[in-house]
Amino acid sequence: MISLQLVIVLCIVAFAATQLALKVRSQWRSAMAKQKGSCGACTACPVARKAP
Amino acid sequence: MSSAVLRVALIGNPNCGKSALFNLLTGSRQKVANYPGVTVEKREGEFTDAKRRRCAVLDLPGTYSLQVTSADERVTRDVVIGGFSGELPPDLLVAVLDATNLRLGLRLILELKAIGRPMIVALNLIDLARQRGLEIDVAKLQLSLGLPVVETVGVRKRGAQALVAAIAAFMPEAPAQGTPTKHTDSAMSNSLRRIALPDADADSIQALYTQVEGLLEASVRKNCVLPAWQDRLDALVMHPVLGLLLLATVLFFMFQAVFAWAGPLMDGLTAGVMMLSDLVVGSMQEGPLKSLLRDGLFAGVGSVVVFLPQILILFAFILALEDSGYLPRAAFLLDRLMLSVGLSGRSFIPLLSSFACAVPGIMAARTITNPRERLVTIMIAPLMTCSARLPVYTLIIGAMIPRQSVLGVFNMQGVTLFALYVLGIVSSILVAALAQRAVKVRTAFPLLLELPSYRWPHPRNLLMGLWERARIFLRRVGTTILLLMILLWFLASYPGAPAGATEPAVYYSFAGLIGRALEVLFAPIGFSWQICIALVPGMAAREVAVSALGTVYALSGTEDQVANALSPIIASQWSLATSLAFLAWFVYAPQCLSTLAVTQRETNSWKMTALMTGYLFAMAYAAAFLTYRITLFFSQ
Repeated sequence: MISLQLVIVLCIVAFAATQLALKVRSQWRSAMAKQKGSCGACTACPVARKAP
Repeated sequence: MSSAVLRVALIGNPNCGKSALFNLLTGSRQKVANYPGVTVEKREGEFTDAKRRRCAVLDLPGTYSLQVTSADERVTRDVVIGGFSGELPPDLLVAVLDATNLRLGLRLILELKAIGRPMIVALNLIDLARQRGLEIDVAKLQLSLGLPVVETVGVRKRGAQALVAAIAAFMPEAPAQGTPTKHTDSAMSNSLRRIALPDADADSIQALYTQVEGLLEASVRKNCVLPAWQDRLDALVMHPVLGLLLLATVLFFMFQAVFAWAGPLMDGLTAGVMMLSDLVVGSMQEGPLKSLLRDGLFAGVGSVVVFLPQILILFAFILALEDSGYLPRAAFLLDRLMLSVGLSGRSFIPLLSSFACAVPGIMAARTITNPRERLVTIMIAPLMTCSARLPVYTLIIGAMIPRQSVLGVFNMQGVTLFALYVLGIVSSILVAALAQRAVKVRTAFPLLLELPSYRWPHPRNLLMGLWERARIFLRRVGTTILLLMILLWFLASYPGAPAGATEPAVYYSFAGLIGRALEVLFAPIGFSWQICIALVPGMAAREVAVSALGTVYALSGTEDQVANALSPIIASQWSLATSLAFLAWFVYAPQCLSTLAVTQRETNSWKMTALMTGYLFAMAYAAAFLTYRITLFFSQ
């Protein structure tokens, strides 16, 4: 028999897992985003010398 | 698309108070400090005037000229001339002029005037300039420049009223439906094309300075004079030997204070977390929800919250040093030392920012002109001890290092913390020296640094800075760390222990399986399977490892142990060799995904990111191995 406590806990864990996945996706996208329109340093980047 | 009726850009020399004015106008909390190079990318905010018209304000990195030399200055130039990622140039330029240093500021203003955009001059820091004896005829300056000039005090509450009124004069009466901020077919017109820059040959520059002299002669009746004590203080602070001694003393005192002052506050917070835990879970029935709250939330998340006082004390010192004008002098002092490893004092500010967090430190490396020097600075920035390491260091030091005094004055725990910071700095110097051989860094640009005048740290700046740090820390605790601890609790609780199990339940859980698998790799450096479990979520951010240890030990301990804080559990279960190896690991290990992500973005290279990750993990393993083995050898 599944207790109410276990149901609540599973919901919390599922919510946390979803939020973490969304957070990781958003950070990944931000890291991968071309800098065009954000800070402009890409076209001028003296390290990589790569245009977006 | 913005609905502002006017787009205004703040532009001026580094450290002339643009960000302070930006904060005052928009109510933002951008970082301000008394040294050049704090803002390295454009930031946008908004304010509404008395007629409810909205004005967008851009805060741009400081520059001395439109003839740029570094990546951050290029952002400023491109925004001003309309060559920035397809954006239109701003409708109005607000040239911020430091009244205590008119000569350099006026040169930039003349360059800006030549490109022919609408412009207002904000004569900032006018209160300080007057205190130092400046007598200026603003009306004459306005007439000579042919531009509106308003007086501002960026750090005072009503210091920008005249500027708001002057900007309002440029706003159209009826709010527009939306001013396009990007180039579109309909928006393209002759007036919006990229503006050509004036010539930058030696004769033109000389002519600019002649004009500046003319302006100063016409409008300044009496110039600023720096108080004599500032020169006397500089003689001490920038003395090649005494200056270095003073710098070491300041840093040493700072780390002593972190331990000496934070103790009672931390004890109070620990007691508070325990009381709250008893209050919430005390009357609950045994079950998974009670375990999640007790072992995941209070033992895990609670164990990292208690480090807030130490982080705030450290930042109070750093912010006070920033605001006083001491930091650029320290950069100047270290220039010779840094030249010996192929860097220059220019790397000092990004590296110093990395003591707070490597992410802004790596971004601040944009101010470095030489590409190789910039690359090496980025690569060594994670070796500076960021504030996320502080909970890890103080947890282990508090548990394993006795609170005895050294030489009757110093606190042994503070000395150990200082030594860990020094280890990070020394390692970064060694890595830079090796990198110099590999990429042949030769800084072609001598360090030219404008030294700001000394001033007492502004209480508002200090409080805002501390509030910002507390907010960042608590937000991280309430989001990333909380979510990770919920997941870790689940992985460390299921599946439960089999019948007849001799070990705690966590040993048989999913997390236990991972920990035991990793233990094979980490056993040579003295890490147990519990530590290995904590290292995995600790990859997200270093302080997560502390929370993870809290949860793992809470789940594997008895009721009595759970009631205790994490520190005594570590003191009783870890050997000195393991503790020191754990500290050595955290000096080097790149346990921070944000740092790796920003390195990829700033270098635009996966190769460099992989190189950084690889060399830091290799150093971490080697340092932890040596520390563990040497300590074992001497403990026998």
